Amino acid sequence: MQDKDDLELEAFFDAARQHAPDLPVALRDRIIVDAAAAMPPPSLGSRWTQFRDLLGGWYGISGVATAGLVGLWIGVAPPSDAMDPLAIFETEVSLDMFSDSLALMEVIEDDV
Amino acid sequence: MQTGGDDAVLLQRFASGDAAAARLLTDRLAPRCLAVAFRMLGERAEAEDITQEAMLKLWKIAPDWTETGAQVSTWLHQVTVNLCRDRLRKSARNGPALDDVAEPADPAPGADVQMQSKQRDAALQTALHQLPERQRIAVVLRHIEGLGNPEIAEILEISVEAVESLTARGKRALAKILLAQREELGMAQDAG
Repeated sequence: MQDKDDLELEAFFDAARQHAPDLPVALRDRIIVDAAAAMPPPSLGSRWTQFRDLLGGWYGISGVATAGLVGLWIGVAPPSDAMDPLAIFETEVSLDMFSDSLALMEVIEDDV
Repeated sequence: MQTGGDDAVLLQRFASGDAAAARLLTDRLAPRCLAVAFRMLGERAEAEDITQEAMLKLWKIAPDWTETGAQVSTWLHQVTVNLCRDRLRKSARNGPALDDVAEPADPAPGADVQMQSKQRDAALQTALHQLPERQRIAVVLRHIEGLGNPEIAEILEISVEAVESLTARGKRALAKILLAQREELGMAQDAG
């Protein structure tokens, strides 16, 4: 149990806590100006870290890099059984194929 | 809320160039520095100088701050206390400056509660400066700033037992000085 002197002293400590000095605006400003002057400049490392995080970290970067390499490989040396993506612009429709299609359509109309 | 961990995160953000983190840290930590420095030195202008100097040391150490287990606030308290001790040694002042000496208590009956509280605060400030430096520091950190004995031990680089001894002796000395002024400080009516 606190003795009487301790309890009375506590009133003084309460008063001290109640009247703690406020941080003056001018002092706050000086401290923040000091912070700005002392702040380390953003390094190339930190810019890279921000870029990396934007892409989703190391997994994201590895995915982007892999996709880029695969795309380059397909463009330069496509697999033999892969459709030439440029062939779509050079499609030749043979007359035989066209006439076969017309015949098929006539059969379908007769059935209907 | 784990403020200690928050302070460390803010400090690391400051070190990465986050200006908002500096403002948040200033608002959280600088008032506590100022309070401790003022209690130790008794002069507001000097306490403000110490606060600015301590915060500058914090900004400079930010890039090297690691999660070593030390709390930012504990480190800052230690820096503040050491700066105050250096200042006291240089000035070799034994008491508060004249502008911080408490005005005589107003004996008029019916003094309001707020005025009474201010008088007690001023009387405590004067009494603190009659204590040996280490007792003053221990009492300020323990009974005004509310720090635990282990944290004070870390700040003063002494054992917990030594902190307990300093605060006990400091309180006994304060009681002797202050409680003799019971009547002037309106404490006789509180006790009644």
